[in-house]
Amino acid sequence: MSLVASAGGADRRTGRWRGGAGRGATPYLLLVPGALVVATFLGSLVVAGSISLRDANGALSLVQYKRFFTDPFYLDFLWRSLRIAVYSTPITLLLGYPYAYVMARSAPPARLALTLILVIQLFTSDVVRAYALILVFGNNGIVNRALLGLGLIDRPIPLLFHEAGVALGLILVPLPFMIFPIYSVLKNIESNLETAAASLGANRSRTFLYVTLPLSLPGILAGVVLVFLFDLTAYVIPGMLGGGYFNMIANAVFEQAMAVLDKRFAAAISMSLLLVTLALLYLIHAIGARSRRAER
Amino acid sequence: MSEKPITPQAVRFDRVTARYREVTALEEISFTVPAGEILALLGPSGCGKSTLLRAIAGFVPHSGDIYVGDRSTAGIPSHRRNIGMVFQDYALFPHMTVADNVGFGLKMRRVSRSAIGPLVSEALGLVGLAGFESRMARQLSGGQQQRVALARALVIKPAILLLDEPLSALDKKLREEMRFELKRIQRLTGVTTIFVTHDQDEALGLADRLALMRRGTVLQIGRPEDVYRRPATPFVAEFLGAVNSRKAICRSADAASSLLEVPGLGFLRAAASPAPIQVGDEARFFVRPERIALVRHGTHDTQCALSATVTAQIYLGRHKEVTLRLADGSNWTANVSDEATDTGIDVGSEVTVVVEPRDVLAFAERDFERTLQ
Amino acid sequence: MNRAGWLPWTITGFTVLCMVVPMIVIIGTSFNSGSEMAFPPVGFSLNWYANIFQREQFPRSFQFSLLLAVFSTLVSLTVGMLCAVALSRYRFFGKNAVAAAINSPLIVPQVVLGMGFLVLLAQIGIVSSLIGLALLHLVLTLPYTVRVLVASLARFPASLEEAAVIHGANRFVAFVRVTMPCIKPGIVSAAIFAFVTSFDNFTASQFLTWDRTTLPIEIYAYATLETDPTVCAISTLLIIMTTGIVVLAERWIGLETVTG
Repeated sequence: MSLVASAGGADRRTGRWRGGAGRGATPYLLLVPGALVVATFLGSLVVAGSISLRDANGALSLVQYKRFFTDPFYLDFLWRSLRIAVYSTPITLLLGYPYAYVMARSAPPARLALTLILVIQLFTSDVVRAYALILVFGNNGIVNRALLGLGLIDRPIPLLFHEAGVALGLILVPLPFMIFPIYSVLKNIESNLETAAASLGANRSRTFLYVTLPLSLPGILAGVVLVFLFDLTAYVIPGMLGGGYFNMIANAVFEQAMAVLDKRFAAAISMSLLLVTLALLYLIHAIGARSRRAER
Repeated sequence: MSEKPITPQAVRFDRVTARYREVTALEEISFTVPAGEILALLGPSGCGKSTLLRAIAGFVPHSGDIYVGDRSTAGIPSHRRNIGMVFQDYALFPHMTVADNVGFGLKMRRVSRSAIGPLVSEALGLVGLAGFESRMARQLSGGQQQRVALARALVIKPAILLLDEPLSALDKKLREEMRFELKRIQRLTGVTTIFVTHDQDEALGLADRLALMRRGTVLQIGRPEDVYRRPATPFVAEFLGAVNSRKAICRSADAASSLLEVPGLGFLRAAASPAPIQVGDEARFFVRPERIALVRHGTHDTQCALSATVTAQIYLGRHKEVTLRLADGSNWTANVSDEATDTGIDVGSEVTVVVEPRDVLAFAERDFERTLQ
Repeated sequence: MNRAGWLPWTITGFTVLCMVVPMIVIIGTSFNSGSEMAFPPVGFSLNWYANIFQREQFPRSFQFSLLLAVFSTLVSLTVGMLCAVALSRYRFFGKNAVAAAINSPLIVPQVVLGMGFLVLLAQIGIVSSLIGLALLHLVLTLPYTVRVLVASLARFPASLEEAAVIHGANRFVAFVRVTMPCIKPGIVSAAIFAFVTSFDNFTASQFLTWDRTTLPIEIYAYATLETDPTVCAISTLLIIMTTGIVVLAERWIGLETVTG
């Protein structure tokens, strides 16, 4: 009986599960396999962290980090990545929000089509998607060939293999990550609210500005965070669309680890990137918590 | 089921106590349900009636003991208690057919497949759903689902049957139909049945006995008519059925009755008190609307009458519901039968409210906490 | 439901083009008869599809990716189900920390994961890509399966399991016979996420490709070296595979289960 009782039962009001009394080892037993997986994951971080704290002779030292943070060549990777993430993400938002809005407001056939397109993008590997962009925007791509064919230009415009090209990829590829969180919030906003606003005299754009937009902020925030982190830590897109001319911090890690074979330095760069990521997430969380407190 | 399934079992609660976080859901519950009886657990929400039911099923940890027949259920896991249970949302398995649902318990008891079929058909026939075997459970209406749930619980020939708010999800007409059905099936099978309800009519109409619960304790158990006519506490008096009440002071008392002075209204003799009231006690008394007689003028015993004015009346066919204003401004309701309407009582009439002492239920305040909000 | 105006629709249309056109170009180019990247394709030929099988790295890496993905999905579902049951049915000390820990691989950048596994495996002494990648993909897919399964279990009405139990099924049998069939959409959805996450993975995986490689890595390598439409052909096959999975998902369980 203790197994059943400690597993809790239906909550009277909601019919959902209410956690059990917490006696018994069952939950812990169930979690053992998962714990092993998590342990492997954490172990990998610990090992990487530990070798990053060693100098060339294996002694404990901060020299790898010092090198990263004082050498402008390497700092530039970080700066470059932050910069491009900062200006690409808002553009993704500008493209993604209307898409999410239309998805939430359209009839099932259209919504299904829009969702299908998005899901297919999401489930296709970054490599294929980046390659597809090369075929469209590359020097030999259809855009250039069309412009050449129409006689509008006499030499291909290099749309890729520099920062703008990478930005193009960073704007388009993570669109699903922006759209789904926003869509999820938008579809739960009751349409009564917009009707109520309209009945009180708000026209379309004011309803949007004063009612819909503020209510969809949690979705926007979630999407922005996801896309920003995607952009910051991107590897494939700068690799394929940058042509070597715009490597980002993830590319630097790989090069140090696999080409230069300086694993310690690569580990230091990785850990720094991880710290930046965690700091950003914590910042967002803190802002979110502070604004929730302010609401009370 | 043409003959009684198994020997019906009695259920005995022995100091059953259950706590959830800081709340005491059940407090030393001790009583017995005789074999073959239908017992209703009735009370306001949060009183513990569902908790007690689920404790029998083994879903709620508790101290104290619950006996089914002669055997204690302590240490026996839910799936081995041989209990049939119908849940409030019926809990039919949506991915199975009606036959698979009903036969589930038999399958768990390793009854052979060839034997399951006839038993399932028999159970479905019992609840009036013969021929529904191959329908999918999720395609049925609410009333049909409930019958399937009942068949599923009964086909295993359980020691006892538990019903959690069995009729609450049905509309009024179905509810009355099913109330009749449930009683018929219970009489036919003889299984000891305990059901939880917050609906008084259900409790009064369906149960052999009812247990009124409040805040984890049983206030009173008895046959419906006994609990209705002789409530043990003011709460019970107010919970079951409509009631008029006022505060009073006891001015004299003897073995059989006490004389209550109702401030500003007069005197009433009360002869139906569960506990004696002493002179000087503050008391509260209750009178059921249907036990009131209205008289226009004429002599009457001053110890059984109060004056009032009729402020409204509604003709309901079987009786007239009269709203009265007493001399101190409070409102009472009286249900007077058809014959009485010819006495010329109308809105605005001055009348005398006459109550027999045996219909005045009085309780000393000091014995019971104030229950009126 | 208020309809959206012309402005959102226009932007959306533009975005749809940005997403769909590149894919159409890939598919079209794959049928080109010449060896340049011509779109619209000149002539029609299945040369490049045949070429896939002549380059032995593609079938080989496809098999390997498939193997990894199937393994990750199955193991991740099993481990994930156990975790999901623990998280959704029980209250216990440290529950929030456990949930956070299981989800944490999602917030770690891919390169960091790859780097970490590289050095961890070197430390332990594992030199086989198969084992290394299997572990990595398990770590990558588990957060998705746990998340989806926890959501499914939370939505499942407890009274169904109680009904099974009271009628004679012990907890385990009740779970297998009643709960699991009813959360099948959730299980399928979790499986799809796990499979796709593993199959498509590039960045973290490339740190561990010593003796074996995965298909995305081979595609990347080929694309940076050669310029014939073979990559288009194989990409097209992958797009078809993905579309097939998505369409089947929509038919069987509905896309809302997948997208939420």
